[in-house]
Amino acid sequence: MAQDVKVRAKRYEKLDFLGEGQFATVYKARDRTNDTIVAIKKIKVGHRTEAKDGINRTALREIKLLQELHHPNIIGLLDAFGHKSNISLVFDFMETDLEDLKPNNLLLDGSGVLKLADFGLAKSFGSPSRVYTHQVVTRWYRSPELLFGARMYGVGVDMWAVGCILAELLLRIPFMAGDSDLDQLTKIFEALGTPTEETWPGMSNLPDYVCFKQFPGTPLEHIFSAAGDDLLELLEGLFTFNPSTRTTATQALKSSYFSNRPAPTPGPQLPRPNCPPDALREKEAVGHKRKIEGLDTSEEQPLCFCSEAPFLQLNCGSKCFTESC
Amino acid sequence: TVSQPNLKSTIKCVTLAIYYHIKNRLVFVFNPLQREPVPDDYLHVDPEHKLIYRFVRTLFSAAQLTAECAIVTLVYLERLLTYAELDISPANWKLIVLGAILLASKVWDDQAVWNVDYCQILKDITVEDMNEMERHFLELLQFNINVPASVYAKYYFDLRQLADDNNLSFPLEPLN
Repeated sequence: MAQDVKVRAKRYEKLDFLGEGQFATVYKARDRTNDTIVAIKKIKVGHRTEAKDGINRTALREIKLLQELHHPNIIGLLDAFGHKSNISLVFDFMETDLEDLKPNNLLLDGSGVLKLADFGLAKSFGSPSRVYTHQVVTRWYRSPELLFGARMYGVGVDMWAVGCILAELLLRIPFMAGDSDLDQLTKIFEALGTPTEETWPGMSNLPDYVCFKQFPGTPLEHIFSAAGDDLLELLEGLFTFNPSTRTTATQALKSSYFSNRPAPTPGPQLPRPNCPPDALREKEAVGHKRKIEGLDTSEEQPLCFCSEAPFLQLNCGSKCFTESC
Repeated sequence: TVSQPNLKSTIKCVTLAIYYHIKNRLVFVFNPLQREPVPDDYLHVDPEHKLIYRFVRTLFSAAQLTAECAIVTLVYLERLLTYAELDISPANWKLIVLGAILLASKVWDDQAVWNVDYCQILKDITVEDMNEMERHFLELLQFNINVPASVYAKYYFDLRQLADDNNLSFPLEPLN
């Protein structure tokens, strides 16, 4: 058995350093067994007290979830192996850099298909009455109920994050970038107006609720001046304060924004880093075909979003962003 | 119920399943998790169900673990025995059960129990040994730590059946 582990570690030949985050280092490597290129995410051991806790628990949770999830828009976990107290995760190689929905965790593969990555804090959705920890989701993408300390929450937290990502795609900078939890709430209320018990029943009973100044908020059309009415309507729904009336993934995918013109750019034609536009044009023929297929069965086909100058496409299959992810 | 099983009955059943694993093992083989020599009789005398139950219950109440965690513990334990082709015996059952509990709580429980907390509960194991054991356990499982809902449900109903067969109570509770 111990020999087997050594064989597994030697299976990959390190080629290149790709990037480094707070918790992990990512390398490009070759899988010697089938000569494919993979990305290896090596989890950092961290400080001493953390090292004393053995194998990194966030990495274990990520492995567990990725073993459960198989979806064209979710990054595929190919393998995992350990060496001493280190743990490494092997992924499909993505061209863009490597439960946390934020732009840094959205990757594009070679054909422009979007993949969600980094499930360290993700959890499968169980009983709706379960008590959860509220320290989830990177602050800028955290919903107001989480910031007020809600322990019972649902898929609404992801939809709020989706709204923040969509807003960031339009603005090209993070929409509400708070530097503390209180500052985050202030930024949210300044932009969207302070909610009341009428607009969000039950708000004042949340564990960490604090009364805020009544900000009037800025109309979304003033913030997103280039966005059309259909897109503003979608944003409005995603930024609903009351989590139980906030737009769900299913509702969002049915919104007119996704069926109105212009149609999304086919994945292979999307501009990507280190890929000149000429090279993209070669793939155009294939991409065009996909687009036409998409139009044929517009009811059933993946719904996609794009801005006036589309640069990122959510090639959503039927399950993407639904309750299961 | 499946989503919130009764803790005490679940632990009773899980430990009973472990008891049968020990009792019904085919032959005693060398196992890599056992390093210290132990007294002869300790190696050969099967622990009683009560002893296993007490060991598991102590850990579960001290670390405030859930009944779901007990079921996942059994899933991991059986997976380990299958993957590593090893037998659970009087000599190694404590370490194997501890390893399975530690991993189950680490992967599935929101309220994290640190590896070092188990050392305080058990006293006779160092955190270095604990971490070494954890790593070994994961390698033998080939990092296969997911438990699909279907597998979890199967274990739950198998445990109910086991309780029935042994006249243990596994009370039905009204859905709330």
